Amino acid sequence: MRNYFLRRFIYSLFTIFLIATVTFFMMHSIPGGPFTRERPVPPEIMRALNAKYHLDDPLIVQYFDYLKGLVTFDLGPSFSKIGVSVNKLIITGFPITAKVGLLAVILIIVLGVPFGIISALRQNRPIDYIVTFGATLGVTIPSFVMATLYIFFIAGKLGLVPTFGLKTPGSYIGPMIALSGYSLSFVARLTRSSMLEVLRQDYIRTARANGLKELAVIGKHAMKNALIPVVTYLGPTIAALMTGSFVVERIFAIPGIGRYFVESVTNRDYTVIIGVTVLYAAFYVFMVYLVDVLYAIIDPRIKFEKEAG
Amino acid sequence: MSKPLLEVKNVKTSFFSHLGEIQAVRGSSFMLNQGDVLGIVGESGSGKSVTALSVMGLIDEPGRIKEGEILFDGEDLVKKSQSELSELRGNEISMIFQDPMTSLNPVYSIENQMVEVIRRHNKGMSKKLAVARAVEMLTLVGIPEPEKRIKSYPHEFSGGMRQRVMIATALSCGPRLLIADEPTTALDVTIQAQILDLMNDLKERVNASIILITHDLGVIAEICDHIIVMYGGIIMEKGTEKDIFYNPKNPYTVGLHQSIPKGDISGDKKRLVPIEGSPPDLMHPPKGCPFSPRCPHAMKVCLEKPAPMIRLNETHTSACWLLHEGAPVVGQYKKGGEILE
Repeated sequence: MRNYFLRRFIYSLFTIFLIATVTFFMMHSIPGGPFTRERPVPPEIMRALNAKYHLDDPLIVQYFDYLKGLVTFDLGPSFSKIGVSVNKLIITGFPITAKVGLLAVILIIVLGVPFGIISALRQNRPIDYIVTFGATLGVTIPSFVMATLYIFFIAGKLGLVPTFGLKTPGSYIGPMIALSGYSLSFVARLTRSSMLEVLRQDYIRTARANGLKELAVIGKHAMKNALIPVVTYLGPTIAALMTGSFVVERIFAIPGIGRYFVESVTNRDYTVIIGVTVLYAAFYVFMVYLVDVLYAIIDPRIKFEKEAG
Repeated sequence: MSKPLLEVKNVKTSFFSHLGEIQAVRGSSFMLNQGDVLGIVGESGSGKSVTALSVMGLIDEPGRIKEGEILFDGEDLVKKSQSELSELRGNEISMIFQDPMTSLNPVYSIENQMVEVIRRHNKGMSKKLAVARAVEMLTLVGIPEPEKRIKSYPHEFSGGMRQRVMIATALSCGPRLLIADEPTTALDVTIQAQILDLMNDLKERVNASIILITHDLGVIAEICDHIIVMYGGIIMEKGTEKDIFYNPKNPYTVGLHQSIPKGDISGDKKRLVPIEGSPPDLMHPPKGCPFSPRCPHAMKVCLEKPAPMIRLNETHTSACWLLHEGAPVVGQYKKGGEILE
């Protein structure tokens, strides 16, 4: 058991290393650099700049320098924002993004799972139709449409919340809805179908035949089985939401990390690109790892197979 | 005569699907005394499982019991609410199912599942006592090293062992009635014999009445006192084990007998006689006797009117027109007997 988690942890580190490497070489293989401008920069200045940021070193030397920094969690200076380190950018931007993302995740779990369960328990009744209809809308309406409508009506016409920024608690509502809309609907649908599947299983009938209360039959016996696919989906989704959405941050003018990321790509800001990519990747890999750990806790059969194999 | 433990009176259970009403049980009546073992035989779709589930109150949507009474210890179960029934289920009336591979929850340990049931019906019992009770039950059903194995998960058990666990759980609260719905069908032949032996053995020890449902006459012969033969949602013949095996008075029962392979070591080869055709469509049940389209002796009246239930002796009844006064004499179907309905 512990061996398995240790092994998975080492794989995860290796994955992050690979992502950093691939990103590094891919970015450097694109023509141009952080100081290329439309109007040619005088060669002396270019040389001086390149020398300052060690961009004149052979690529392989730069690569190892970069790895060295990565291991010590020093992601280097930004090329386009003078005097600002990538660490600084992440520290200022990421907490804001993560906070909005985390709120969206909570919304998904608190609303998506119960809606799915209620819908399954009341299959083909009005409440099920309402939830299914709402969930279908949620999956199909893109986040920017939702965000724009929200700003227009709730913030603009009704003036209930500010139109941009995160100054008041109310201003979190819009970004939360826009961010979670798709996943919330998806989780509700997934929980519903998974629950319906589980409720048909023989062991549910056994639980009823043994006289267990309906609350125990649903809350204990059906729930744990039904949540396995939901957990699978939630892992990467949480990673995606916590690292934010550029579109949503843009629309609501949230000073998160998404903006820096997109700017850095157009600016060939190598260190920012790789830094943010590695951060996202690490987060993602960590969530997948967490899902695997959760699996083993939820489903004893998985523990057994992995140990044996 | 003492009051019967279970009395099923003219129960009709239907499933209301989009296509129409499926009349799975079309009037089933029988009774069971304390300590008796009743076998219900019939092929797939004969209504035997639905009869059992009706007794349990476990008919799922879109099904329901249309009419009839199910008296358990004098109380009508049909009138009880689900929460009242849940107090009885697993406590007074237990049930085990066909497929032990899927009947236990894969994500909880055996201990967890057994203790949950024991504590559900023994309010205020400590966990420690409940575990001790579970271990005791596992010992009773022949699980080796029960203290250790109780920590296992269902997937760590074989099919036969899982069925033993199911039986142990079902009996853990000392029920007065155990319903076993094809408990051996999904198991290997050797394991089947073991489970039947176990049930035979337990019936003496736990003093529960048993309803054993099967499509296999061979299974039933060994342990049942009384046997009910069902077909097309109705009871075709009812009697003691002797009546049904040595003196069957219904062409359907006879057909069932002829379709069982007889293991004859002498090498005397006899062709098996199958029952031609297939069971009736219960969405459009036949007007007359449900077996009439397949019956070798079918008469005009059989197709037109349901056969009367005819009492042949104290224990033996059969629903067949051949036994009626007006019928011609055919083989073993001697006429006579009191017409019950």
